[in-house]
Amino acid sequence: MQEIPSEILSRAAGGDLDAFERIYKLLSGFVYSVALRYIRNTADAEEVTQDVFLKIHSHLGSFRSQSSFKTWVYKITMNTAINYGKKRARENSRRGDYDTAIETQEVPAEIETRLNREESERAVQDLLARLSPDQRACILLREVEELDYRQIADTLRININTVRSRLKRARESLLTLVKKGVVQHAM
Amino acid sequence: MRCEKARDLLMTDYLDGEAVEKVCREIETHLAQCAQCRQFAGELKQAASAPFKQAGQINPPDRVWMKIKAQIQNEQKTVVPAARWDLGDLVRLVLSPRSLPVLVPVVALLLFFAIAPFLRKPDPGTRALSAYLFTNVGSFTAQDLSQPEFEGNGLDAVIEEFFI
Repeated sequence: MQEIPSEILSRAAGGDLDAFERIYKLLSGFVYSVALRYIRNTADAEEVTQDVFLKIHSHLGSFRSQSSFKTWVYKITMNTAINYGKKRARENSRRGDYDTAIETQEVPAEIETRLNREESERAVQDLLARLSPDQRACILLREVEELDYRQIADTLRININTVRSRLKRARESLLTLVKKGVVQHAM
Repeated sequence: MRCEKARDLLMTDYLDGEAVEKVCREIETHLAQCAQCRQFAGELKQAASAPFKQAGQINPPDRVWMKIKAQIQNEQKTVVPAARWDLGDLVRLVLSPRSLPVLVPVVALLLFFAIAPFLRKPDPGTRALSAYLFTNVGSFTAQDLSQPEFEGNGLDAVIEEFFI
C-alpha cells in the first residue's frame, strides 16, 4: 500500500474533496485488488471499494498517525471483502449451487479481457480460486501485500499461530494442485 | 534437523522471513545435505510463492470514484440544512442585534395578550345579568326535578302514539 502524506490526510479530514480524491488514487488499487482477488467478482469488488472509501471518508478525523491509518485500511478492506464473500456464499448456498460454483467458476469475461495482458495475474487468480476463504485472505496479505505475521494477525483478528497454520495449509494445497496438474500456470 | 520439521519451516517462517537467524542456518544446513528437501523447497517457491510476487495492482473502473464522490456530495448536502436548524443557531439568531426591530414588537404584543384579561373590569349590566341567571337557573332546576317529565301513557312522543 502506498504512503499517504499526512498533509493530504489532514486536508481530507477537513472536508477537502480533492485531497480525498488523492487518497483514493493512492489506495484504490490496493483496495480493489484485494477485494477482486478475494471475492472474484467485479461488481462485488466495486461495491467493496465504494464501501471502504465511504468508511474511510467518515473516519478520516480519527487518525493521528500514518501507521494507524494504514493498519485500519488493511482491516476495513479485508473485513468488508470477507463480509461480502460470506453474504454472497449465503445467497449462493440458498440457491444450492455454491459448491458447484466454487469448483467451476470461471474468471468473468470482463476481468479476463483486462487480465489477458498479464499471464501472471491469471496464475494468481487460478491459485487463489482454489483456496478456502480463510487461506485466501492470509495468502493475499502475505504474498501480494507482503504483510508480516503480526500485521496479518491484527488485520484478520486471529493469532499468529493461526496465520502460520493457514499459510502452511494453503501452500500444501497449492503444491498438491500443481503436482496433480490442476493448476498449470505456476510451474 | 528432520525433513518433516524442515518442510514445515520451509512452508512458513523460513519462506516468509519470520525465522530467526539460527533456525535459518539449521534449515540451510539441512537443505545442503538433503536432495529431496531441496527439490521440495524449489517446487514450493515456484508453485506457491513466485506467481504472487509478480502480481500487480488492478485499478477499479472510473465509475467507482464517480459513485463515491456523488454519495459524499449528497451526504454533505443533507447535513447542511440540518445544521441550519440547530437549537444553538436559533438562539443566536433570535438574540442577534439585527433581529431587535422584529423581536421588540413581538414580545410587547405577547405581553399585552397575556395581561389583558386581568385588567378588564366587567360593566354594571353584565354584573346584573349574571346575578339574575345564578338565582333563577337554580330554582328552575329544582322545580323540574321534583315533577314527572311527561304526563300520559308513558310513550315518549306523539309520533309513536300515531303508529300504534
